Amino acid sequence: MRKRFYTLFLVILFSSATGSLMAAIVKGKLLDENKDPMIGAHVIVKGGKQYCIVGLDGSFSISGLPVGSHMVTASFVGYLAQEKEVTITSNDQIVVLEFSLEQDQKMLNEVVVLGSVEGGSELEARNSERNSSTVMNVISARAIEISPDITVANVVQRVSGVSLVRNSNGDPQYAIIRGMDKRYNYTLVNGIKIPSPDEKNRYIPLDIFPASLLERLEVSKTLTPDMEGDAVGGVVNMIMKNAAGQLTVKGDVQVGYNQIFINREFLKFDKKAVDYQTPYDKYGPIYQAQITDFSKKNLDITSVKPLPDILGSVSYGNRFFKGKLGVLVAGSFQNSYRGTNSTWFKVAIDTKGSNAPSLDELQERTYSTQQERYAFHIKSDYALNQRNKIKLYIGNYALKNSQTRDMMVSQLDARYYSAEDGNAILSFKTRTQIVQQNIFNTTLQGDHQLASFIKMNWSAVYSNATNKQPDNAQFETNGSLTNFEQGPVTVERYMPRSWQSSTEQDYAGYLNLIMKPDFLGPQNEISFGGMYRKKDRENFYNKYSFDPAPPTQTKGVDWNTFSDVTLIVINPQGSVYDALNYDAHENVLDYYVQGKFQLFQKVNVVGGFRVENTDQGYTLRFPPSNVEPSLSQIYTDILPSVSVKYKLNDQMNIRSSYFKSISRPGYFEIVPYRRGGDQTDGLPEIGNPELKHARAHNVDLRWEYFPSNFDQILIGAFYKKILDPIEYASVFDATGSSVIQPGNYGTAYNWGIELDYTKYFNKFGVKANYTFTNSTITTTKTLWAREDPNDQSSTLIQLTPNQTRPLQGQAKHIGNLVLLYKDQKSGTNLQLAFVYTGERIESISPYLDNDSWVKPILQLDFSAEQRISKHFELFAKIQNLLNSPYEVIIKKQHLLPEKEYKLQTSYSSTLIRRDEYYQSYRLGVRYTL
Amino acid sequence: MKQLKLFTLALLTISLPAYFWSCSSDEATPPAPQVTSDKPTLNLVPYQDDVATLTIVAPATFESITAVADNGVVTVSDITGTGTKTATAKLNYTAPDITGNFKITVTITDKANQITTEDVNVAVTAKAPVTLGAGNITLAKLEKGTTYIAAGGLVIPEGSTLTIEEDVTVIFDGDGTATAPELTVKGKLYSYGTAQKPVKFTIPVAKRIKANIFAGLWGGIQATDKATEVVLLYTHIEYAGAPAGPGNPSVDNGMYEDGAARYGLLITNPEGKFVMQHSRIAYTSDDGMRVVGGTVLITNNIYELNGRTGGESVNIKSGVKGTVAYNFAYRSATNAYKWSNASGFAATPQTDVDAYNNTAVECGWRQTKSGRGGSLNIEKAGRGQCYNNLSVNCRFGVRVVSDADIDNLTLGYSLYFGTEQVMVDEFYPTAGAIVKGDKETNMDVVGLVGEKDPKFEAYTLTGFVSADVKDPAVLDFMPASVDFHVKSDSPALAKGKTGLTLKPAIVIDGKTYSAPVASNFIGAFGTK
Repeated sequence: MRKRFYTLFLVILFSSATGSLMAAIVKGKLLDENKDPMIGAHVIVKGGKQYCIVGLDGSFSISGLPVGSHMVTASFVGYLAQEKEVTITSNDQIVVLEFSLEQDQKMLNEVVVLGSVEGGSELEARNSERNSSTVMNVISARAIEISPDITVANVVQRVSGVSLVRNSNGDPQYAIIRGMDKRYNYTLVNGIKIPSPDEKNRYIPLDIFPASLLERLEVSKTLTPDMEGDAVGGVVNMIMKNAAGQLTVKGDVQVGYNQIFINREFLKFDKKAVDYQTPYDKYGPIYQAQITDFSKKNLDITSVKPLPDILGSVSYGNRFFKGKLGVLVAGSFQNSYRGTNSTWFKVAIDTKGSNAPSLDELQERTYSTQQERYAFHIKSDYALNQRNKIKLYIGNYALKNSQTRDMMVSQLDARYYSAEDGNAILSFKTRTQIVQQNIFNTTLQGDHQLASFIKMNWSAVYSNATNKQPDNAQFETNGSLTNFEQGPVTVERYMPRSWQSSTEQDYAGYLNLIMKPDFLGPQNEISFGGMYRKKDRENFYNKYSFDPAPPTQTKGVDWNTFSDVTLIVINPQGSVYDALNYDAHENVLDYYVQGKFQLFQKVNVVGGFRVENTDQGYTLRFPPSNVEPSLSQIYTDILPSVSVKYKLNDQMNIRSSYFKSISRPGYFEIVPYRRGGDQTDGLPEIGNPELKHARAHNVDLRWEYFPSNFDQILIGAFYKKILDPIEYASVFDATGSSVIQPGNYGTAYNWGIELDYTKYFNKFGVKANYTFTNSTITTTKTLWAREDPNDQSSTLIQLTPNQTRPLQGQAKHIGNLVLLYKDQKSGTNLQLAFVYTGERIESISPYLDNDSWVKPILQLDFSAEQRISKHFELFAKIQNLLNSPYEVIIKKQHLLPEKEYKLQTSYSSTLIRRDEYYQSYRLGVRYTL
Repeated sequence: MKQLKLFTLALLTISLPAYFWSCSSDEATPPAPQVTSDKPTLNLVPYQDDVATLTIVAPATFESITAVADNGVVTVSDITGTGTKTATAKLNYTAPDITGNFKITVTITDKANQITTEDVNVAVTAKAPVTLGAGNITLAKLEKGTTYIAAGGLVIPEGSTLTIEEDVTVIFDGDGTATAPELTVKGKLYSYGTAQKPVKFTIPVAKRIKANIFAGLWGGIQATDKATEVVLLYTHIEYAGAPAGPGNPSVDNGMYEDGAARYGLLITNPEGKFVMQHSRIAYTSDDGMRVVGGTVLITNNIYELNGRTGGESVNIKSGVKGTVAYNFAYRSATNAYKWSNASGFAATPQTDVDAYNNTAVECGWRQTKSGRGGSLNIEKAGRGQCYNNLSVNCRFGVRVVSDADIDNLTLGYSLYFGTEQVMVDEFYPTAGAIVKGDKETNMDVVGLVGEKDPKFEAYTLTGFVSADVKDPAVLDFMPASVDFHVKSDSPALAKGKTGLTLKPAIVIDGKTYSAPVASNFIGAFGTK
């Protein structure tokens, strides 16, 4: 039990200021023994109207006190209030006051049983960063609350060194940490790894988690032996809300609207018409599906003005049985309508040696997506006694995206196309799809103080993740434009409808022993531990294709909506003969030993090593005759790590660390699949059973300066050497045809510098971070050229030059700037958040010089919050204030610059995609008990 | 004793003159030769060989033997005993391709010029069809005159060769689903039909009906990247195009995605050699044939009604080098002939095809996309020569896409005829890169609607309405009476370009296949 004293200095200064009309001022700073500001504490003049709330830097100031004697009270949650008398003798007097607050013992007891202090506060977040043995960034619940962010994916982009991969709605989804692609990072819930709903890979879509359930978000960029070793970039750990020390009830309701649906309508389809099962599932593999087995209504689109978005969350927490049992129940619901207007250019590569992109198609797309997120969790802890504690967490997170994609395609590869004259060959594609993802996690944990020198904790985990994409259906028609007049529209053949689903299940057990034997000294400990996780996943994929029958059905003559079109099923037995029908397993047995030592008072060392045994493999459900129907890759890694924290003084640390880590292949990447290989345009993609896991050596150095508890300056540098990184590149298969294959292509290097700056000036705050990252990898590319470059009549050949480039997704420059205004007295919070992400590779082209790059993007979000009563706050959030377009280019001018194409204005690059998401507005009210 | 002596004396007395009488009758003729066969009747099936052994008695000594058959082929061999009174010979007979009772007439001549004729009867009865078990074909040869029934998918294994003789029919009784059988070629296939007796890959007779023209009942011939040589001479492939699916080796080999329609013929070895002459691919649900890689010679073939609602007759991709000449295509869904280098191989990335003296009739009307070709198409990085092609009532003329290797493409001397303005407007397709006047298109024979009728011997062009051929459900077989030779006053005559530099000959199985020279007429046939 710690006892903390808080002091307030009172110095009375007698000013010799000229006799003005100004009233006297009482001011000072409310700091704790660590000189940490007690933000939000109240300083009140008894009997008067004047009061002040302690600002972000701990300062307060009360003006307008008349001459006379006043009682001034300082109070703060968890502390006993203190009163001081101040005597004002003149109007121009400035009085500096000193208080010394004592903690409320009753409350403190509970706090200790709880083992946590002020869950979700900024203070806790900064303390976590400061005291962590890893290089960590933490974002508190409070920071999230006042930010414009609604999902964890929004939140994580505020962390230094993190850039985001977005989905087609423009919503961030996956984190790229320090330029390392999503495959190099893993995601935890309360420190427990969770399975992925992705059909092929292991990464977790972060947009499934609503921000409102977080207590804090931790991004660790270095690993210690007690952490799983398969992260090269970093680890995103979502700590879910805990039961606090007293009854807490919180809730908020928001309504919102998106600018895009003020501008245009939302394209809606009947979700209830979507059948989650295929005829193959229902009637068996030899059943010949009839056209009547397929719903038609899910491709009938209606245009509507969507209802406002509604987002709500509620949490209830309390402690029972004298604080021994803590329970927190929280739920969140979000129903929102998102839209994107997007222009794509489908490009081919000039095959005649210039290697320039040639424009094949202009695709004008609109996306209309309804997102429904449901999340629910219970977190409870029970203290059997002072030495034994049990915790249970149950969480379920669900996301359902129902999307209509409407697309008009103009063929550009013909002399017929003319933007000026309004001539084009057109096709129209309407796709509807539902993506339904669910992650469930339940964790039972125990903490036991076995003896004074030994602690044990364990976890038993069951989790599952599911992904369902039922009836991903497309309606395609063809038409033309002549002199701006639309020609007849007829129905296309080979219209696809596919069903995909996957389930991943984890059973895991963790056991850790932490020993602090006396002979090691009070600050030192040794821990041992291990974990075993058994993971199984199942994937299902089926596809049907449809032709119009009769083949010519003209819009307005034979049909008006999709329901009027008559079709036949081309493959009535379905097409499950796809490598995406696979089962995968991954069983991991890890153990570690770790020591924490304090040397010479100022040096903390954490070091040890971890052993990871991996058994990863697949089984194909319909194996082709010429491939291995199943495979297990079994290997062991020994991963040493050491980190040193040198405490220069109370406010400064220097940290350095080394750790070795790995990154395992995706579940599907080692499956010997071949997809898209039916001689159609575009290269087929094949799997690679020989794929090795990547190993990385990581070195970090960071200087930290904490001028006060809230202000900080961090400067760090990192260096990574990645052996056998997994990248997609163009290679030749056994027959000599070009394919795209995941492979181990040598060694990648990645280094960078991170700056993090936080400073508060009473009501104003600035948080800024900047990351410079530089990575390189060399892979082979395809280049078409004349056999004799000087003879244009010589035959074309295919070369495979090497190209060095940054890792996919890595931006050289990433910056965040958050400007805060916080007036505690009026209960006003304002926040303006900028995110800058420099150019980065969006996708790797198999062809030389044709990688697609996302142009630098600056996004601005705004949020405001106003307390309206003791329990209620009003808030407003605007996302994407600048309507920043997401633009993707190839850094080479296209083949026919003399011809006019929409949006193609650059002489040095070719635009291949431009998305606009427009602003999103939300207004809400928050209740806090 | 005395009586015995007397009797002997009397006998001598009688026999001596008799002896001398006989000696003195030297001019008298001994009996004619006689012949017997060890097989009085040869019981055979069409084309079957048999050997009979003939035994001859010729008192006047044997001189010669001949044999003739009123049907079938007979030879005589292994003759012994010439110049003696007994002889033998072997009668070698090959039954004809028809059934019936025939005879072999054997004629023996002796020294005395006496002639004996003897008939050996032949009974040729119908041959029972042979069932080929599913999986690897263990035979080296499919024998002529035989009908083989595929009990399932058939495979010519890697490293082995299957030779098919004339008049062989292989029946694949597919049901149009993904389980329908295919012939997978991983080794070599030599199909040697003849003009009179072609080889056929087809479905049972009862199913060869109008309703099945685009049904795609069986899986076609699928040559994997291991198939080094494929020769099709006078070979017909009909009614193919069932979707690919589990268990099809072509899917296992990545040639198709599950559910995609299989082509009548697919060649995928970039190092392979492929010759197809005087053959015919008809009634496919998608592409008639597709060639992805290799050296090819595709000449004098007939393509009929390929593609239900899309698909080319001859679709060439990915590094193919070769010749497409003197082919005839009738009502292909999209293009009759197309080449590009999509899905390229490392060693041979450029498709280089000489297409000349081909005819396309009424192609390109069954497609759901606008502007995607209807006679000849030259696409991505395709190069070569394109001359003397005749396009009649097609949706589009020769279309060169802008990413073709236009610099290394020569073309012209085409004849275009159309009965509708929409055809005439697209002789030089607006969705292509070539306009009249480019390259050698000034040498094209081209006019307005209804002009430059090539004047086929027996096929009426005037009055053709494109709307009539758009619906695959109403299309019927090509009438037997048609003749696409041109009359002597045809504008296609003497307008062709000759003297083209040809692609090198291909040698397979000891035979040399050379590209035919270009003719001075336009189209595949010239005059009768």
